[in-house]
Amino acid sequence: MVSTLANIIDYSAQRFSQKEAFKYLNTAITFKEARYKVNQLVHVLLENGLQKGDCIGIYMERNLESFISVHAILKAGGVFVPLDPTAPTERTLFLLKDCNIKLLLSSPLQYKKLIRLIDKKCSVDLIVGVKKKLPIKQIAWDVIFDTNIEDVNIDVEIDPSDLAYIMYTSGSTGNPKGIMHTHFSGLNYAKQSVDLYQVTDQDRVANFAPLHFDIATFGYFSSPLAGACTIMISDAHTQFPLSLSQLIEAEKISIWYSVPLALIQLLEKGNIAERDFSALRWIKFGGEVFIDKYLKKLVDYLPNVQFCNVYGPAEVNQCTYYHVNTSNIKDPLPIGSVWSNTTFKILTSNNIEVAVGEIGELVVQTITMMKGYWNNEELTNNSLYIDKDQNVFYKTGDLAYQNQDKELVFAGRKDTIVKIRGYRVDLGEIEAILTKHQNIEEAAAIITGKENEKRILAYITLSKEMNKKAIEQLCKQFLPTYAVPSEIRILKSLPRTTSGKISRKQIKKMIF
Amino acid sequence: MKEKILQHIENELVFEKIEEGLDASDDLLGGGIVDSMGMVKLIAFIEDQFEIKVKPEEMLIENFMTVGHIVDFIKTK
Repeated sequence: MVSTLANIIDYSAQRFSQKEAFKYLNTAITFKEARYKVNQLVHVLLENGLQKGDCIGIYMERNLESFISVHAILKAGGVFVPLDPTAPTERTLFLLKDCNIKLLLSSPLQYKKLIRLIDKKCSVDLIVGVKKKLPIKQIAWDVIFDTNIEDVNIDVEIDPSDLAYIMYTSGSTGNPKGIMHTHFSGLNYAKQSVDLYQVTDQDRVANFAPLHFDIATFGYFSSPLAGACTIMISDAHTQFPLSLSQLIEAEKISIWYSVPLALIQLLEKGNIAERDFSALRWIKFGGEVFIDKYLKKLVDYLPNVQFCNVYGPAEVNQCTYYHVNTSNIKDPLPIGSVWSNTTFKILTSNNIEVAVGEIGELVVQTITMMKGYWNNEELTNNSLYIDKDQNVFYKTGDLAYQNQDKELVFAGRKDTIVKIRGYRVDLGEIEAILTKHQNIEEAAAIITGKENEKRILAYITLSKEMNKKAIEQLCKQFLPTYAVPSEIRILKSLPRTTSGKISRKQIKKMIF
Repeated sequence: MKEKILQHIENELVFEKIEEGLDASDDLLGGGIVDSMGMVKLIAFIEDQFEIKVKPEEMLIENFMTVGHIVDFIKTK
């Protein structure tokens, strides 16, 4: 039986022994092979002193070893902490220290970055996965995969309430915050997502997200739980849509899950009209709003695919879903209904429930919710709402309302609502107006300046030439005067976080 | 040509200094050396410097994986 995330590989190795479990570029491994490799790594981790509850860093690009690492750390009783190899050294150092990470699983590609980390006197004393000489203790992957473990007994008891992983997101204080998930919350996510999308051992699931982005849990946990094959999309493929669409066709991907941006790029530059995507049955997207005109275009290209708008902050994994009715695409696209074992409320700033149709903050209670923020009880408490019956809800910080069909509709981030000259302005609305235009590809609106000199700036990318006058005209046509951006800047591309979301923080840094 | 591209990446496009320097065989994409915005800028630089045009159908991994690949690609133009 599967009662923790640590059981997944053993369970599937028993049922689907010879089936492909994970594939990266030209290398695929079966569940039997995956289990063996996981056990080899567990053995090495335990031999090197891993104690139950220790945080182990995973510092690598999208690859096959990251699957082995995740499942081995869990089975050995550790807590995995994904570290983004493209993050600045200082941020990585903060995370290593915050979690007291002594053991880092990495890869040869990260060699130069590892040297830099070690130079800065980080807490790590053992690095796994690199052959080239490092100035600290190291073990290469081929040494681990040569370990003979025939008679090794792995006997670590894991309880569903044990911590499984910590994922960091940027915090408003400037320091990243670590979201703690247990085997219970993680496995509930895996089980519920397998049920909702009816994932089977016949599926081929594309994993587009890097491990440090929470939607990767679908490819790392849900897919192997169902006996499906997870195809790891390489970092290179994420940047070349033409190569990516070749891969989707060649690998006969049946379930896709990513941020909308990846799909927009496929649509714009992936030549999908010429590709055979007949194996594709689900496209799930989340993390950002899918701009209406692109979704419609994509639906036109792929009439036999089911589309799902997935919603859920990393703190709760997923909490709502909306299966798109492709013959009548609503704008705005609802985030839909809460999924199993989940309830919600929409609250005013005074914690009073709003009437149907009114906007308020969405709070959710679910079995896929985090345990709290790592080392930060205050932040954890502030993120919770407890009702009069002592039910604990997570405050999403997102605004929502229920439409006439009782579907939930996302209405912006609480913090994208700004006040300018006394007026409430939703920056998201400005972005939505801009991107409705066929020549405007993407838009990000930000606010800058102190109290009385607040100004709205809009940054956009164009898919076709368009002069600034026409863009200003567009804003004036649809927005109240106080919400019209005082300046519009055209960029070649918008800066993004490594999970593919538009980075408003980086845009703010570009102001001159 | 190779040196020019290597220098441009190291001086203009990387997030942080690369220990031991950048090599023509380093995986630019998998190694997290340049991000997607950096790749857009790199392609614009190549088009400008070597007076070539990268066609949409040439935007493939095999042409841009490493500086070595990029040099080979430019030579075909």
